[in-house]
Amino acid sequence: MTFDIDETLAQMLSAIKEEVKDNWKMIKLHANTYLQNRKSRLELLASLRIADEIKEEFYQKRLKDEKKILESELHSIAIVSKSIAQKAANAAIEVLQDAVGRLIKL
Amino acid sequence: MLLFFIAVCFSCKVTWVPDYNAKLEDQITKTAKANDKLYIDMLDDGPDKRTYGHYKEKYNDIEADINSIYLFNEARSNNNDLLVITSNLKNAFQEAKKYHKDNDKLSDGEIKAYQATMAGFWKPLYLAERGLKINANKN
Repeated sequence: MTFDIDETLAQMLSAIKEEVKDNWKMIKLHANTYLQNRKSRLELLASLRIADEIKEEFYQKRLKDEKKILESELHSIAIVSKSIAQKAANAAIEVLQDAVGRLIKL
Repeated sequence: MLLFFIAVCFSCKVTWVPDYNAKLEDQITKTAKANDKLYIDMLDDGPDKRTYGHYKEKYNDIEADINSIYLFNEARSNNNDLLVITSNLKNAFQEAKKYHKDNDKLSDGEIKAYQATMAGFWKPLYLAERGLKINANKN
């Protein structure tokens, strides 16, 4: 029995696609949640400033916070993306290990 | 021999993110809730009772919990992204606490703004920890 590298690579790719497909929706969901939340916060801050319920200096500080929140959100998306990539990579490695393992046993 | 070499090369799993931790997710949820409740209580209490001293203990409890989350994340491997998120949260909370301490009382508008902003800092930390669950499930 020979080692069919093309067949193994096809199976590895299939394993990657399966893992990414199942989890990709989570990234989109998180990005949409962040966008909606930002919209609500900016609307609230603007309405509070217009009604003079918060002072200009306080308002500007909260807008600066928005930059930090965006930074946190991007890192959060990076973690989820890496988590999906890790699972996909390990699924592909498992396919290769199984293929090689079967040949070693022969 | 070649097959053995390939098998050895790929025998380890890749690790790019920390392991999921259910206890930490629970602590994040509880502390975020306590932070939200701090502002809900302030709005409920009315302007006269909103002195820093009245909420000092709650502030300190929440700050200690955030520090504990930061410490836990510091000790994890592959923690770069999590440390930025936790550090931003920690700094924002300390700034909000200091503002209350320096001004003694907060207006309705300031409380509403802080409540929304702090929720914005908590969400990425919570969703990041939940995202780690992807690798906690069996492949």
